[in-house]
Amino acid sequence: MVNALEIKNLSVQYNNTLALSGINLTIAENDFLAVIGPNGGGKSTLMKTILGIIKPLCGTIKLFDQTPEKSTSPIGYVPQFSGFNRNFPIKIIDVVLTGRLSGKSNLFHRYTDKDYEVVEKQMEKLGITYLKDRQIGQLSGGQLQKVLISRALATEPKLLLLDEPTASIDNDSKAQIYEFLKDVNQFITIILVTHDTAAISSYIKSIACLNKELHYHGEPKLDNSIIRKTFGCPVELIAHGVPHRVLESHGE
Amino acid sequence: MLRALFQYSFIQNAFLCSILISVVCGIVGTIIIQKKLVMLSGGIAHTSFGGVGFGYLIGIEPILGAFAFAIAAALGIGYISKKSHQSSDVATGIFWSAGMASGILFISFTPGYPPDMTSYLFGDILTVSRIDLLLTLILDFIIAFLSFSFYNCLKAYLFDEEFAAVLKIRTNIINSMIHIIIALTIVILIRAVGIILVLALLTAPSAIAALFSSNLKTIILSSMLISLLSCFIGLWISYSVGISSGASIVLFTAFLYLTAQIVKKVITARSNRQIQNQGIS
Repeated sequence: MVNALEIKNLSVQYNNTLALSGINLTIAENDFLAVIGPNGGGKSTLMKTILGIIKPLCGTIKLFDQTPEKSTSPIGYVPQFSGFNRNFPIKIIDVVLTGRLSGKSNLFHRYTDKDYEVVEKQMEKLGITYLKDRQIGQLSGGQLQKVLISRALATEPKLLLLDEPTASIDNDSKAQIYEFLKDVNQFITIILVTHDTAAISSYIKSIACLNKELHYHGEPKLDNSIIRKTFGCPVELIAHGVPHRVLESHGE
Repeated sequence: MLRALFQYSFIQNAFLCSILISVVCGIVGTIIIQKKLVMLSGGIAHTSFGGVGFGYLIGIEPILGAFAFAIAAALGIGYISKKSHQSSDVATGIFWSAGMASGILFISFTPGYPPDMTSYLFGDILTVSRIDLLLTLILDFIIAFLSFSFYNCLKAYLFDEEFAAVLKIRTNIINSMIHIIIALTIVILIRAVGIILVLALLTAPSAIAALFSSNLKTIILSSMLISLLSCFIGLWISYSVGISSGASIVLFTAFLYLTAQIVKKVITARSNRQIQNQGIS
């Protein structure tokens, strides 16, 4: 069986500090991995390295057995909200349509009927067709997140990366998005990063903790020793596999 | 003034020049506003003053020196801020001052009488030559062709550069090309409105258009019209009152911008009131 993602001995330097050190990670096809860790633990850096936006110091990344440069299947990417200009004059349908572009879209590129078909299907699945003609600046957090997920899926990826997908959105939207991702996971491998441990719910299949170094745990049995290793101190846990809230003292 | 338009070729040139620069102002101005490159553009404009001085010093056409310095600044600022992980504001500020300083230094080294720099600092659309018009026309064609043919990629890049890079669109090349185009545009505009005033003509029309439209194409086309209007009316004021053309064009543009802000405020307040009234009744 082909692995969706294979990272070997990866180290990444970002802003003159070592952001990731000696990362090894293998993700099977159709896995649903959550990477948790504190802010500044290198979660976004890991995402951007997989996407090829940041060049690693050393180590290799393989996507479906191919190097990222050669890989033909695009990666669906759902960035954090801060990454783009929310006042940009663009309609939602046009935002999602950009997912249909590629490096090969060159001179006089125009979107085809098939592009519109794919985009409209994705928007319908996420229930945002009614937002089609709105401006990007007019959306709520939950709506915007669904737009970004539609755009990522419009690239027809085999691997979907989400960066903090549930930050700054309400609980209803959160639940809807996780339900939707669970559905999508039947066909697409998903990696999501979050610092929100409450998000580690019954939807995910495996879990990894990242704080410069990565600890892969397979089955999501989140216990305090894992959390302490990652966050440096015990944090409140509301998670699958943990029977009740455990809030350990810091030990004075 | 109409009679003068038919009589004097320099007024005809000024009118032609207004039309030609409006095309670049609309496209490049919109890119600058949407990509938040206003400071960078200011830095490029002022660095090109060093090029003007250098041109005088080594005895070539000063505008060629300006081209070289502007392109070097555009690429240099981008490169330095990328490598140093600092905001491009820092490099921009340094290029800005260093460009002006080196311009003055080069001029003082130039043998003979110091040349008059006023027309480079404040521009003079009434002295544009046939060559200037031809250069502007060529630039118009290049910019219009590139932005029209790569419109979808350009729009995706302007909206979300990182996502465009993930799609394997070559954002590095687009970035450098946009920087070079801004540099070329600024130097072309220096002839009309000068180094110090260029920023207003480049940004105000598109900023006005963006207040009233949320469609990228509409913004580009209407900012072309707004800058054309500013140039014509500014030129007319300058002709009838007898003041510097660069200054009157820029002042009129700034006036339009302030008026547009006020009109926008009034419209928003009125529509808010309507919504409130509907809520009450």
